[in-house]
This record gives sequence, C-alpha cells and structure tokens, in this order.
Amino acid sequence: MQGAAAASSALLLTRVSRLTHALEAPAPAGFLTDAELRVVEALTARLLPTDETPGAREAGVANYIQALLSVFPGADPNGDAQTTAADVTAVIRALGMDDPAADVDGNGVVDAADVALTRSSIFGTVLVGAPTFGGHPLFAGGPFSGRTPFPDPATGTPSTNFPPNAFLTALPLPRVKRLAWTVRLLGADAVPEVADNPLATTLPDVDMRRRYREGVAEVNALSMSQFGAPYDELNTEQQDTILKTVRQQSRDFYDLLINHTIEGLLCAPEYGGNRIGDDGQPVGWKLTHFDGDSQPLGYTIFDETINDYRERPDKPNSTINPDDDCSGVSSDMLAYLNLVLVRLAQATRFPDPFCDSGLPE
Amino acid sequence: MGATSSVPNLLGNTSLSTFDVLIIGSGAGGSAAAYVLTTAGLNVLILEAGDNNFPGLDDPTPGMPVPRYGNDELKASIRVWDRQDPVVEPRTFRTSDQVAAQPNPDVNILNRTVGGTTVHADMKYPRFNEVDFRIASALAEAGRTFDGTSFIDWPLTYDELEPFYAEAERITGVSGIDSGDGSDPFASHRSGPYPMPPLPEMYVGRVLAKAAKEAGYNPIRYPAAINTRPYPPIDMFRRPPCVSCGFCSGFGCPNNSKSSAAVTTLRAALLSRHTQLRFNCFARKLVTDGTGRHITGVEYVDPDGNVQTASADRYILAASAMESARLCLLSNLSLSSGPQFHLGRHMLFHFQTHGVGIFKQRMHGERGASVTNGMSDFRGVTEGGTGLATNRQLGGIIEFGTSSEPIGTGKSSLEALNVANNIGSKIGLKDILVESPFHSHIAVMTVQAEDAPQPTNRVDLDPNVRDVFGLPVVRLTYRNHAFELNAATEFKPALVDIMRRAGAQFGFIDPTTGIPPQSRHVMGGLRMGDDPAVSVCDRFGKLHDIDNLFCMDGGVMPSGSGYNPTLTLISLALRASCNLVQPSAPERCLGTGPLTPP
Repeated sequence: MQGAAAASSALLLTRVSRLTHALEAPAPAGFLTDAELRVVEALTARLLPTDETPGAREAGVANYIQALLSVFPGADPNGDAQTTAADVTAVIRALGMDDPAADVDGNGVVDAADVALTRSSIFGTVLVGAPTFGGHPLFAGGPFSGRTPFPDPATGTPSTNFPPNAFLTALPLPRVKRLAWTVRLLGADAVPEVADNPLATTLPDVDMRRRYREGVAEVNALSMSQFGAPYDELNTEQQDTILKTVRQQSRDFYDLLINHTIEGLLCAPEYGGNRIGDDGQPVGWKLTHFDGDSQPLGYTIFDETINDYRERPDKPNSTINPDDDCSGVSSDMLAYLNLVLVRLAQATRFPDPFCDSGLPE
Repeated sequence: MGATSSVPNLLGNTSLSTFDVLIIGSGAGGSAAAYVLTTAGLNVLILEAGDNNFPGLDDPTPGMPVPRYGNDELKASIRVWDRQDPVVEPRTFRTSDQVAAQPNPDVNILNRTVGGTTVHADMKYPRFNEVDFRIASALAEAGRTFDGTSFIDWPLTYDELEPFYAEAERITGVSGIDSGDGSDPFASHRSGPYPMPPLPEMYVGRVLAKAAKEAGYNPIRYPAAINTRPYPPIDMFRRPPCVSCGFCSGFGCPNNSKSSAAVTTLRAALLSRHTQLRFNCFARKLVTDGTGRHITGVEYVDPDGNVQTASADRYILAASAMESARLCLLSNLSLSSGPQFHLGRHMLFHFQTHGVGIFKQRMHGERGASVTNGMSDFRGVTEGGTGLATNRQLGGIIEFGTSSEPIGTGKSSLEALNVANNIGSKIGLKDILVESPFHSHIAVMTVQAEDAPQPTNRVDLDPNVRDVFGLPVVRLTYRNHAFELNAATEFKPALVDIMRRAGAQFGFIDPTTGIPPQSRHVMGGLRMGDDPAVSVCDRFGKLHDIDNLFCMDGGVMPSGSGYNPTLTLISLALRASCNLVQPSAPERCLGTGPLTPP
C-alpha cells in the first residue's frame, strides 16, 4: 500500500513537473506543425503570389489558417462537451501517454503543448470557452476596432477620440454554436448530436483539421514523388505543377485553401491574416482598395449645428471618389469580362460606356 | 449604471415566475407583441433560440446597449456567427413532391439572435399597397386568373391597418420622404409624414436614379428603419444617426442607429419590468391538454441542453414563418380539416431578379446603408396603389445597390474564374481581387417581385434529417409559378436598359437561378382569413381551433405583395397584440407605449 502510494506520488511529481514546464511554455503549439505550416504558406503564396504587390505571404494567410484550425474546441479531452478546468486535469492525467482524446493539438503525442493549449482555451480570455488562438479570436468582439475615431457632432468632422479595439476580445460561444464549430474543426464523429444531419459530413468546411492534415500530406507525397522534395522546397514552377495536380485530384482541399486564402487576405487583421503593413495599413485592404471597417466614424457625419449630414471629402458617400480617373479595369480584365459575361452569361457590352456624367449637386 | 441582469442567459425582470403570455421568438413580431402587452401591464416570457449580442439591452442607462456587432464580414457572413448554422440546424429542399428532398445549407437561413433578423436586415421598410389587401378580388375583377395559385383577400383592409403602420414607423423609427422629389407615387395614402428624413444617398443609388429618371421612371428615396437623426426624442431610448458605414445588409449595427427590434420594441419591453427573456432557449414543442385545442406549456431546450417547460395563459408564435409552422407540426394540435390542410402551405418568398451593370468607376459600395434608392414602377399597381395597373403585371419594388462584401464577392467569383481559366483566360485570383470588377465596379438592381401563393409550396417535417436537438427539420417544397416568371420577363430588359443609360460597360441579368429561393423575405404557412376552410389563423392571428395560440410573424400573410415585408409584419403584430389587450378595439392601445415621442 505504502509502496503503491509512493510510486503514485512519484508519478504525480513527474507530471506536476511536466505541468510546470507546460505552464512556462511561451505559447501553445498550433494544430499545424511547423513543417505543415510551411507547406500551407507555400501553397497559398502560389494561389496569391507576391509580385510587385504583396500576396498571401505578406498578408499572413498561413497564420490566419493556423489560427482558425487551432482556436477551438481548444480541448475537450474528457469528452463532456464542455471546456472547463476538468479538461486540464484530464490532459495532465494523460500526460506522456498516446491518448488521442488528450492530444489536443493533434500532433501525435500528449505533451506540454496540449496542457498549455487546453489552459489557454479555458483561461485565455475572461469567459470560459471563448475560442481564441495566439490572440486571434474565432469570433471577434464589437463594436469597434479603434481604426477610426468617433465623429464629432459639434462640427460634423472626425474627432481625435479613438475607441479601444474590441475586435481583440474573443466572444464566447453558446452550446449549439460550440457543437457546430466542433464539427467544423474535428468532424461529425466528435458530435453525436449531428448523426442525422448529412450536411455535417458533406459541407466543404467541416472536419477541417483532418482535411488540412491529409491534404498537406498528399501535396508533399506528390512533391516527393515528382521532384524529390517537400512542396515548400520546390521552385515556383514545380510548385505550380503540383498545385495543378492538386486542383484536379483533390478539388475539396484546393477549394478549402483558396477560400481560406481570400478570407486571410481580406479579414479584419485581428483574425491573424491581412497583416498591418509597414505603412500602418492592413495589407489586403490596401491591395484591393477596400476601406475596411469604418465605425464609429463612417462616411456621413451628423452635424448638430446644421441638423444635417456632412460628407468626408476624402471618401465621399454620394459622389465619385476624388481620385477616380475613370480608366476602369485593365484590358486583360476587360477581355476576361467579355469572356465570362458576354460569352457565358449573355451580357450586353454597351458601345458607349461613360463615367459619372454630371450628377446634380 | 442600471440593473442589468447578471444571470446567465436571462434578460429583463429575472424575478418574474408567472406569465400572462409566452412569446416564442424575439424578432420583429415577437418584440412588437411584447411591447404592446407589457405596456398594458401583462407579464411576458420570451423564449429566444439565439444568443444575446446586445450586452446592456435591459440596462436603462442612455447609450446602452453596447453591441457585440462590428464591421466584420468574416464574423457575420463567413463564420455564421449569429445565424442558424446548417451544420447543426439543417433544412431540406425539393421542387415537388415527386422528388426526394436534399439537405441544403441555405434554405432561407435567418438569424438566431436576440432581435431576430431585424438585427441583420438593412431595414427597408416600405408599406404594402392598398390593393394588396384585396388582391384576389382585384385579380378576378381584372379577369387575371392563374391556374394553381391560391390568392385570397386579406381579412382586413389597408385602412384598418394604416394606424398600425403609422405606429410601427413611429415607435421603430423609420426614415423616408412622403411628398415631392424622391417620394413614391405608387405608395398608398398615409396619415402622417415619416418620423425622419430619408437616408443619405449612396453614389451608386444616385447614378442609377438619374438613369431611371431619364428612362421615364419614378426613382424613390427608399424608406428605412435606420436613424437619420438622433431618435427617438426620449433619453432612455435615443439612438444616434446612421454614419453610412456600409456594413448594413447582413450585419448587426455597431452604433445602434439601425432600428432593429432589439434596440426599439424589445428594449422598451425589457425595461418595463414586465418582461423576462430567456435566450439560448430553443422551443421544441407546444404542450396541449387532452383536447389538443388548448396550449398548456412550451417545452424548450435550455442553454445547457436540458429540456424545460414554461407556461402562461396565452402563447404567441413568432419564430419566423417556417419555424412557426414547424413548431405547430411538431406539436399534437387538434385542428379541423381546413387549418390542418393549410398549415405549412402557401409559403411565400419574393422572386428576386438581379439586373447587373459593370462600370468604369468604382462604386464604393462599402459606404452607405446598402440600399438608399429604388423605384416601384414595376410593382404593377396604379398611382396610390389602389388598383392593378392595366399595362403591367404584378412585380415588385426595385432596390438600387452594389457590393459591400469583398470576401463574399471574391468567393462567388471563383466559379467563373475556374471556367475562364479552363478555356484559356490568364486572369488569376489576385487580378480578380485587386481589380475587383464584381465588387468595386458593380451596380445591382434587385426586384423583390411578388410570388403567387400556391398550396403545393409548403413546409413539412423531413422524414430523414434531424437537427442537433433531435427534431425533424423543415422540408421546403417550392417551385416558382408562371405568375412571377412571366412578370420577370417584362422588367428584365428595363433593368439592362437603365444600366446602359447609367454608363455601364456591361449589362446583364444575373443568370443564377433562385432555387432554393434566395430572398430572405419569408411569409405564409399560417395564413390568416375569416374562413377556416381556407386559412389557419383568424384576422388577429389566433389559430382557428386553438383557444390560446396566436401567430404574430410573417406566417400569417396570405400574399406577399412586392415590397419588403417587415413593416407590414410589425404592423400586423401590433394590431393582433393590441386586440389581446383591447378586444374589438385594438386601435385604443395606439400611442400608449414608452416609445411614443412626446
């Protein structure tokens, strides 16, 4: 009896020591391993290449995808459909064992990173169960990001008073939404309640962790067999050859990647993509001439002294942009529009298009 | 600070334990009902399936609540934050009884949130026309009959509803213009002006309005339940003017200038001390007594997944048309043959046609309240909306808009990009996103055309697919009728012509078919009428055979007109709930509530 207790306490000490180590870990590991992340970055960089303007790499699209795959459910190793302190205990108990339920980050071993990830998903934000990874929320809070100031109703112009960034606060999820996102990240097998819903297995954005793990493995297998190196070590020509094959053979994974690339380029920066560039502007929004979030300032500012609105001269609401030269899209894009609109959608191409002919004041 | 509920998943007066009325759904209809009933001093329990994203909604401090909503496309549209999520709550769809229904991720997906879909709608609030209330008679008089349709006259007139329209505009806060340039010649008579002037015009709206006017049409400033002044003039409820942030249709409003049910009628009901709202609570069954004609309670799934029961003297369905019909079908109601047959039938969605133009200039649709201009010329009614136009079929109001969502537009460009690449185009994803012809350079005219009621267009329970609560899901059977398909052929050329006159490089009709219906305007399934042989509810929304069950959402509408339906839905709910507190004299309760401007 005493011997058993001693052995048990020795084991416990080992685990506590591992736990201490885990708590000291600077950041939990994400779902994608470093090697996988490099492949995802290389893939998205071919979908949205860097040329004279930034692409997926500069926008941090791979970081966006890593955050998405890693946010949630964070952990439910004890399988009680809730993420609570009991889950930390469950991972600690399983530490060093190959317990798939406790392998929270899914990297094949139960280790310090799983404890840390479980902890961060529980205690990382004020409210239990607000999904977030590396500071990037699954659902950003509101109302404002702090990128624009409050309007000044005394003058009808922008004030110098900026609200705090509420987008950095991860919102908690009610039970039903939590189940939905468990299906999205871990698949329908993890949620018995969706057994009679075919969409939980057939939609393109469910079971995303498995899709990425298997998709990246397949990309690498193709790269190895054709060019003898993992995808991220190939030259761009070779990468494009592989990507073409992926598009033909693994359309679901290709579509998931391209959809996430668009999201990672154009989302609010708080989600881990659309990084803020050196000039202080989010890379994706600047690249696409998109104004991004504009509250609380907006574009029509109410002026109490005239009891009416004023517009912003730099970004007018009711008139053409002051810097619009009416040149329209490029000739290559016009040819493309002609193809998809006139040839495929029976559109009319008008002979005499014009730009902004004299709207009344 | 006032007394905000600190109890999880509860808002309002948390100490109430007995209730006069239980309302299922906190959207436009349910909140309007709660407002009227609590003004009369009745105690109300509201069950809401979604979460509360308005912290401080029951706090009387001016400036409250502070929404969790932001200008955040990823959250709102892509990650379906506060909408019904098909991964856990799917629906199925088929075009006729002869084919198997398939699970579909977008069968009229609406919001699951405190305030309902008014939180995300861009709140275009026109009224229906006078003739809409006697549509069956008007069509018959004109000799216009359509096989397979099931038009009936409404069991009330426009004149009977008019005071409630005015009340709805006043307590909600609607902006618009009722005379002169920009007013709608086809709108029916009004007893007073709009509470606020119309929305600041978007650039795209002005470009299209100018072209429409040149073509001989009557472009309007679109009425909207969005503040253009600080409103209402009551400290506790005052909200700021809209700043035209652009994230309007499909987005919750970050600064409360959008007059959603949450920040208007529901907030007033919550502050009355007569309302308790339980959110993240999904109603799964109406419990009846032995007769099946009297409701004794509602079973609901609580935030932890456990089943609870709540009861009251009377019950109001306001879960949106399809969910209210489904809840009736999931319950053991004893209905006579008329209501039994018509329950779930005559489902209505507006038949949308999109005329599209691609322009040289950037339309900057990310500024403005999504739609600020439009026209009613193709509604197909006479001036004042009193009769049917002889030279036009019945169509609908047209919204002048553009794209404000770059992620969604980028994604919807992928298919065309793929087709083009397969036949040799060198345009890549980056070109599409940077030049963004379908986002920055696009203008869209959307027709909200009337779709004919048909008994075969219906909601029932899917025999195979269940939701996360273990319940059979909505199976929608729906097919368009020649009534609306033929009307569309009338206005399609006009849409393309307006694009040409506006200077577009290309003009076309969006070729994607609307199956399942893409309009979010859902009506029918519990249609009202005086004759139980052809209807489910009476003129005040009471189910014919059930003595204490009422429907106060879009389910009661026998036909859908060709205008955005929410203002009419609210007006009907106000009238029906006023009738509960002032039987046979519902107009007596007008102007008595806390949102009435002094």
